[in-house]
Amino acid sequence: MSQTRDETILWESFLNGDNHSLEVIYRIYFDELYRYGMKWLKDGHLVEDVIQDLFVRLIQSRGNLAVAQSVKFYLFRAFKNMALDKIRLEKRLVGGNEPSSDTFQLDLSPESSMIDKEEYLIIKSKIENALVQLTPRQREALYLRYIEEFSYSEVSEMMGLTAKGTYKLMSRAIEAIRGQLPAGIFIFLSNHFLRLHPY
Amino acid sequence: MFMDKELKKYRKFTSADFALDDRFISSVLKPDEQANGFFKQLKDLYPHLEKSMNDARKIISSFEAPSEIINNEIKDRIWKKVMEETEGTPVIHIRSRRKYRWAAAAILFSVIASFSAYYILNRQDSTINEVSQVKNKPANDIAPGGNKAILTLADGSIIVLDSANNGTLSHQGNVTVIKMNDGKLAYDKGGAAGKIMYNTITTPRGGQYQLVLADGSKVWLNAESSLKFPVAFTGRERKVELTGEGYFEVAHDASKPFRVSVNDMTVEVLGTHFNVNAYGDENNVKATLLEGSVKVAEGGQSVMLQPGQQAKVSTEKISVVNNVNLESVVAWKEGLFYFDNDNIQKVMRQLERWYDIDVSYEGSIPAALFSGQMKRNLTLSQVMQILEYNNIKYSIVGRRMIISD
Repeated sequence: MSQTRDETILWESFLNGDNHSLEVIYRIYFDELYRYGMKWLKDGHLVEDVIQDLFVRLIQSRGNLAVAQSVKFYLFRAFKNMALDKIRLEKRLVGGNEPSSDTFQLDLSPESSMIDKEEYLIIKSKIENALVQLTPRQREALYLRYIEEFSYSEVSEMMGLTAKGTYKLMSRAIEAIRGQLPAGIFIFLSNHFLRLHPY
Repeated sequence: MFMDKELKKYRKFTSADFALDDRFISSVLKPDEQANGFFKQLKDLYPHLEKSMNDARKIISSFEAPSEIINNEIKDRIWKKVMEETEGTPVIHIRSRRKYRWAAAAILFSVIASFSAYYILNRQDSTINEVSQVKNKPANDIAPGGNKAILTLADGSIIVLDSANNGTLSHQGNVTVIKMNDGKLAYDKGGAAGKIMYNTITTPRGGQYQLVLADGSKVWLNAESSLKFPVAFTGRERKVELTGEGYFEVAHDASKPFRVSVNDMTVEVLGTHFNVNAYGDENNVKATLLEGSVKVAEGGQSVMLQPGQQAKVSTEKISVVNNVNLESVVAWKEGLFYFDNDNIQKVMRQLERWYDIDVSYEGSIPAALFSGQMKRNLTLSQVMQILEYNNIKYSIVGRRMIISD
């Protein structure tokens, strides 16, 4: 990613006392953090609260923060911990049971930009079936790898697994989904919908 | 060309292996020429891998990426709270702060600039992850079009619609022009106006715009098009003039027929949904009816259309086509390109208008026909990648594209 280096500069500048740099980071990642937060919390106001708390805490603990290799990863990991704390707190307040992360939702793209429509609908329903069967942790791993585009080692760290464990978790998930894909040869590369007609 | 060794590694890959392979994943999520070339070569070398690759690609690309664009006001408000809550927090060890500040300011500027540009272009379409799209765009890629237009008022003054603030833009007679939050333009009729005043809205290449006329009729204007219309409909008919392409949802008013004129052709309606395509570089003017009924007249001839029919008007001749693929006709207003057995020139004419490029051909023109749809918010390189898979060879210099055989 071309901006990684710029972000590292921003982060260091923030560590050195410049809040404007943090504001830039805040604005770069707000939408992504919000989307990720909604997967856990499902309530926009709660997500906004957590984002606010996250940046307050970053500023307050500025002196103790490390130089981040990946700003995004740093933010996401801290954000996830705080979101899970929030869930625990909410559950305690409403007298629920032990906190759990059994809520991680993964949705399919509403309308893939490139797949032929009918084919897409078929695949979508198949994959939806498969997704329900997955464990929340499998869903989360897929989300972090394919949507947030974290590396395997980052996904592992975020999930508290070894690299091997992550690979295993994901490959089982993939196999389960693949098992649901309709057989037969598809017209084209999946995200390239154009069909070439013989002439 | 890639090393055999690199390719060999994939020889026995299953779809799960592909779906977990870093190189493969990034070729799906962030395609570039090198990665595409690599997996194309792999497929040619080991044809048996094609199905696994297709499955893996399907799985990877099937997950949701869109996020809502969160309103800037919310971001401002939360950031303000962060600042309030941390006021007085001591700043520890400040070193070479000045240097960093410059860097931060420069980056802040570029980030804000790219964000606001993106925000304007995509207000009506938030289905792709904005942040990463901005970040991952190759430096020389050409962005898709967006909501852009120029409004010329009755007194000749001009308002650029992609930068004008929301809210009231102008008062003309008793009529107020309002730019709404979603980027639409609306004409609010005050009392009856005196003389008829005309405004013209013009979209450039790579622009589109939506407006609501004073009678409540809605008009979507495609790229490189214009609509001249009265700010209030006071006469006995509602008359507008179109160039390029527009989709109309005309508010019903039996006492005032609505007339769209294109060159010499007129489409006359009472209240209905229809599309008119009158680009100068297309072979003929096409009026397609989705709902209601319309009369299409040219020269001395006229025809009445039923829903699903299309009138093709060429020099002094009107022909009617039945059972038109309506989805393909109005796909543009839904943010899609829709090709239905179209030759490459027809495909390219649409790309020229939306990406503001000029296409020329070297050698013979490829004879392939294209069917399918793709989103109009793709960048040009993403679109071309799709065409490349269909063995279309091209090169781009600036905004000129050359297709070779």
